[in-house]
Amino acid sequence: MSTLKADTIVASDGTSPVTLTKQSAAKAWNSFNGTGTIAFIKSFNASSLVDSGTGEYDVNITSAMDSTSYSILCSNGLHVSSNNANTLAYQNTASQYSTAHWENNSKVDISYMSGQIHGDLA
Amino acid sequence: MAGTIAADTLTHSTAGSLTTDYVVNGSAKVWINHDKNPENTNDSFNVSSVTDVGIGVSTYNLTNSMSNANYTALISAGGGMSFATGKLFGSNGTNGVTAPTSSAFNQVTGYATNSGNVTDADYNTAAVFGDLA
Repeated sequence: MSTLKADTIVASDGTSPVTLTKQSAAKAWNSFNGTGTIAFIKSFNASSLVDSGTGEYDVNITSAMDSTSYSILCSNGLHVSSNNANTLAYQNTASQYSTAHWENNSKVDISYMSGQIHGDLA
Repeated sequence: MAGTIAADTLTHSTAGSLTTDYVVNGSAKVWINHDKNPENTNDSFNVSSVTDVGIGVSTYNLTNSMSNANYTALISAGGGMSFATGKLFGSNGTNGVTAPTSSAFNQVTGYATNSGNVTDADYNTAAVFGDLA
């Protein structure tokens, strides 16, 4: 078994990101508690959370994406009620996305939200 | 110099080590950001084309196929979050959409506030995890 020790890996031109053969690593991911004083449970490349209303949150990214065309995948857990529970998300900027959780046709705060981003960093 | 690094473990000076099977198995093999209103793929990886099946329904066709149809496809959607008619993710097997294959899968998007009604959302996103063929 071989071990590669390095803090940074770059492409052969010295600046571009490394190309993973036929695959793409997540550029950010997080889970957070969206009730009370909202806080990350665990995160990577996420800088802060904003409580933007009942059941609505903004997630700020530390290292921005190259545009707003990245792919966000958000999910939820620990529902207040499991009836018609849905989570949606959209890209605000290259460094922030918003997500909201719905139950029974209304937005509600929830204690477990998660998200991940795929795409290219700036 | 172009080249390939072959290693079983990656070690960072402070962040710890990672065996590279997590890189191979844990990296997305497909991702997409697709607008259905109007139809436009904003960005994607390993998607050759998108078929507009109908209102709220798309088929994502893959450039490099997966090893079989048993992969994990994560699907999400959004747009108009400030409106009562927020959209949510969809799944396979509804609205006449066929089951996923190794080379294509479907996304169905509907209203969060009107269960079951499909709609063309501004942001349709997906990522696939599993093994390439």
